[in-house]
Amino acid sequence: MVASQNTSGAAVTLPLADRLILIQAVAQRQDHTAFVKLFDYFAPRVKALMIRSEVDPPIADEIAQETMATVWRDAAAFDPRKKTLAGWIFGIARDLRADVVHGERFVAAVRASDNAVDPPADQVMAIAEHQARLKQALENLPVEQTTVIRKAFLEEKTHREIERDLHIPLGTVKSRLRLAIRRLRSQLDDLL
Amino acid sequence: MIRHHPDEATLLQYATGAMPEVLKIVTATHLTFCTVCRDALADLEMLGGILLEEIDPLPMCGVVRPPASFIDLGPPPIVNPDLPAPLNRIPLRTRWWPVSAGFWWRMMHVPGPGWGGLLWGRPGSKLPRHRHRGLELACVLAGSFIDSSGEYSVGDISDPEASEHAEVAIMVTGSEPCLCVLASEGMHLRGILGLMQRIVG
Repeated sequence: MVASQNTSGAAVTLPLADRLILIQAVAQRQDHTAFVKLFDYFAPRVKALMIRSEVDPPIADEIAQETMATVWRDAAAFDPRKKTLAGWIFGIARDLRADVVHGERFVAAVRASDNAVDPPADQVMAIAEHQARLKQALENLPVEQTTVIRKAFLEEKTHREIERDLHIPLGTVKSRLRLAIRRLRSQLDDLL
Repeated sequence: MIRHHPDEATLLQYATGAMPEVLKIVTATHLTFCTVCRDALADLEMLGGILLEEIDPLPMCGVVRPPASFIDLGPPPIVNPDLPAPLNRIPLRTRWWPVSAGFWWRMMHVPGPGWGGLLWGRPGSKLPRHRHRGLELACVLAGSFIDSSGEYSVGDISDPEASEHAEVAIMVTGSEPCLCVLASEGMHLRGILGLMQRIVG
């Protein structure tokens, strides 16, 4: 039974090649051992993400648990041609926080509509290559752009909150975010 | 063919979750029409995943709970079958209110900061000038309208730069009525009062 598994520490790494095998084992065979490996790697990171966005520790733990329970339940819906596992999990955790912390009632409806139309099946992108390029591009951004990107994603800050935190005008916050996003996405253009 | 998309900074705020729910609903409505923005959102979520892996993990307090304990409520029921997703699942107040010559307003029932609803305009009607504070988004569901940045038809989203001074005039174009879903951060007055207050013409 999965419940008996102790998870006092966090797994340090989880090679990209293993992730697909593990999530498929969960999707196809409800493989508990594979699930525990995913849990040990991702749950402590989701918890840390929640703490960064000032969620109370017990709630952060709860959201990490629920995120992984969603991974277990919806594993078959994960499409490795469109998303990375980490990106998918980021989205699940974000939506659970909206529900649990902000009391948003329609997140499930909103999430369902994000995938209203499937892209053509032949548009299979090399998702690992995609991610590697994005990571590289992120490292090459000027520091003032990565600062606003990190605040937005990791601390769930609105543009106005970033304005207050960093003492820079709202217009500058937005233009830095726009520039960063354009630069990051421009590195992916020739892949599509 | 979608011609008007949300600002990159707006889509990013949607991707990070730092946006009032009512504005997420308008953004998500545009996403159901727009493959370009769905692709952009997928990239932003991938970026979220990369950043998730960069931060130092924190140990969990408990054990791995049996996933079977998880009860999924699923998406809310469809209450407005005539509207596109996700609006088909969002409750609306029954009454339409007149807000200006040729324009009617019906409030969305969404708790939390900001407010939103459906705005219906008769062909040729003008909303003379209107001011807005903070983020204000409108996605066209039927018909079309025009403002200083061009014509908006089904699926297009209006995401004007907020400013204390900018005043936007819009006019319903074509022979069909125009139906939009509109939401605003509107920090002071809510809903119809906010809408009317901002019509300064």
